[in-house]
Amino acid sequence: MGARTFAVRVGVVSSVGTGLDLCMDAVLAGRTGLRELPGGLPGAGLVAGRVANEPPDDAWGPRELPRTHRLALGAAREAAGGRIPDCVIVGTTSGGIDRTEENLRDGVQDPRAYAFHGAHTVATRIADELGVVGPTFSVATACSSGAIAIAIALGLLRSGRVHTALAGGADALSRLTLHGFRLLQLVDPEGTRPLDRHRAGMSLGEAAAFLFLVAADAPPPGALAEVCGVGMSCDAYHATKPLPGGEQAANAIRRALADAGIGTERVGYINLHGTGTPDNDVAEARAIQAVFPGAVPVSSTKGATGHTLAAAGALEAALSIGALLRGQVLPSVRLREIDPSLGLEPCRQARPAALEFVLSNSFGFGGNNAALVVGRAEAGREWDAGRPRRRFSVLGTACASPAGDTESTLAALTAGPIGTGTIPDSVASGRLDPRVRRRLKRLTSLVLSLAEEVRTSATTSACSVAFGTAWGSLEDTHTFLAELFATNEKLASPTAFIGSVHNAPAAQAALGLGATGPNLTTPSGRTSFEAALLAATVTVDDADLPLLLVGADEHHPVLSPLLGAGAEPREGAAALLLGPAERGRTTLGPLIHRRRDREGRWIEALRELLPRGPEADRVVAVLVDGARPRELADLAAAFPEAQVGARSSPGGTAVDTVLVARAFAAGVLPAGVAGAEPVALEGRSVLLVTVDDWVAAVEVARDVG
Amino acid sequence: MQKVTDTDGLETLMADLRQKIVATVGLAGLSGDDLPADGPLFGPTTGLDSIDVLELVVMVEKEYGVTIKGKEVGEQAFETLRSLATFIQTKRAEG
Repeated sequence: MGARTFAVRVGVVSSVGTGLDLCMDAVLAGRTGLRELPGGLPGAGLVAGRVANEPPDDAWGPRELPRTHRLALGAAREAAGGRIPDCVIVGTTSGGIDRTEENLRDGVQDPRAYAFHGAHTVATRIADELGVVGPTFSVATACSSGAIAIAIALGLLRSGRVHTALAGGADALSRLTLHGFRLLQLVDPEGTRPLDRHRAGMSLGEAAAFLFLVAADAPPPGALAEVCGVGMSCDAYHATKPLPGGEQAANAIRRALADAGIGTERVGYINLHGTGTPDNDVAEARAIQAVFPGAVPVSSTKGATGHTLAAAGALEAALSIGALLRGQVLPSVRLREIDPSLGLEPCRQARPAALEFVLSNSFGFGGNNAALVVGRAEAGREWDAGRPRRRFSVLGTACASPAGDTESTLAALTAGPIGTGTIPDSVASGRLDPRVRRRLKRLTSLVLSLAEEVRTSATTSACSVAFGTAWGSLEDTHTFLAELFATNEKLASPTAFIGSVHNAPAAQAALGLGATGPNLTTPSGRTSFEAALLAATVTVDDADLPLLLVGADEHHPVLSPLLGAGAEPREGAAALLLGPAERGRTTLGPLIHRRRDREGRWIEALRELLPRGPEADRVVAVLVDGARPRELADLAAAFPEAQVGARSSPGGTAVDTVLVARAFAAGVLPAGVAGAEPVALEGRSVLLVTVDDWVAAVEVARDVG
Repeated sequence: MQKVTDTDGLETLMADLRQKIVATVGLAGLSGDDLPADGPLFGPTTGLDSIDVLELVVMVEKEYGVTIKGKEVGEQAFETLRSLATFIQTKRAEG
């Protein structure tokens, strides 16, 4: 363990080259990977950066894998270089959408064909390949995903929970994104020209990029660079447009510099988000002018690579490391005539510079902003690691299920298992203003409704949002693709595309609450809620609390059965408002996020996180979802003082956390939740464990050490 | 003659557009009567915003087979209901 974080290897797959060296050669020479997509491919005729140099063998994994997974495996293997990281955090918006598109078009009904649809499977596939056992999940915050994946890895490393991490992002081109951005009229038909006076939009690209990160007190042998600081914020302004003055983007940059412990004068180059849309480039320019008193060399590398969406933040972090290593400021490829109204000084050609620190910006839909500072491994700076957070206080709770609203759900849960069904519309969206609701489909409405309920009950509003969802808005995704295929891949609702982005519900919640702090969305299958809690625990500063933590997924009549959920709906969702941990309040904290292994080592790992000695009996109940009988028996042996019981609430751990948190407030776990008798809770804790391919555990407690 | 004749079909097209716009945007309380021929189509009076423009571009292409390319073209075409109807008619005449 160490106080600093170093990148020791980098892996890149992009339209301008595979491997950081080839990619850097291309960018420095001003080459572009943007081409008109040929006939026969989705989005034919659009200009985009497609990866053309696929290896002939299975170096990027078997061909039956979706394209994002293959690009990701290619870059991840290169970045790992044979080492096994402690965790894998992957920014991705697409998951296996390219396969799902073809399957839906062809009417494929076999759920096995959709096994890699989920965004989280990009992370778990890499973890399977490399043999990773620690935290493994995806981050889907649109175009800042790759940067936020690195931010979460940095948080995990600084907290001491892991010592090494593989973090980055991957997105392949897909119909959803190519046509979605086209229909939002954000695509330049001639190919993107960021920062140009005549710029007319973005070009998409595909890529994967990963950093192998190591925590250490001093640069380890072979260290390429230090990841010095991150800053996150949310515009809370609009679903797709950036805040025109760039105020929150500026805040993300300020936070990154403060986190790195450096002043603006030490930043030698800024790798811009620079998408080439008229609005983005203006807002970003305003943000930079607000933070930097003087001119700083800047460029956008998206003219070379295209906008690679969830990969962009990681790819540009890699290119920023390349800039440090080569001592070169990168050129703004495809820039012809600088837009003087931006007031920036973009570099047209590569030029040598003694760079100490580089800033890399990433801004996504929903105003989801992230900034990273990377520095030369030996560059000096003042930095205080602070004390890592372990848990939050619970300030407010809300949940929903087929039984109805919060009170009805909790009453039904204490009376016995809740049956199948969907959340009533009156609960999922009935309380929302019709003007707000009109563009929102089910999942986003549900998240907003819960957010409003928590705000009302806690009488305080969230500054940050963390959202655990396995699938994002299935209804939006399905609507968009169904319309697209019905019109021979020409037309579909742009609103549905906006809603299909996994972080749309979290972005809408931020908009509704005015939450301008970090905004995280973490697909992790059945452990998505737990992943969101873990990610927020290690990244959100106390100044950005309260945090709205939400776990929600919807049932979609077409897609849910194909994704293995069965035909019977079982909807549930919950939201909690969390503040700094305080004595006298119920607290919630993450314990493990770990591979499920036959030997039950995850049970040992869980046991080791909890105290022995005088506090050994603090765990009074272990409530487990999805475990086999033998695992339940092993848990009972590991926690002999505790009631170990199975649970199966709709909405999983999110809903059960609300149930248990309310029980702590009352001082007693009602009969029927863990055993036939009520359980006194004062000074005790309850563990909620979810067992799937990955196991996650959280602890709800009061007045524990 | 006082009575407006619809020899060029513009009035009929505008009536048709009113219905389709209302159905597309799904704005509670908005009816065809709220969309006068020559008032601004977007903004505080109608409640329609920039995302509605994007939806209506798709609607116009789907329903009338007319493609609206580029932001400037879109802004002019969507200024009023009449300008949109005229745009569609012109494009259709061009074939």
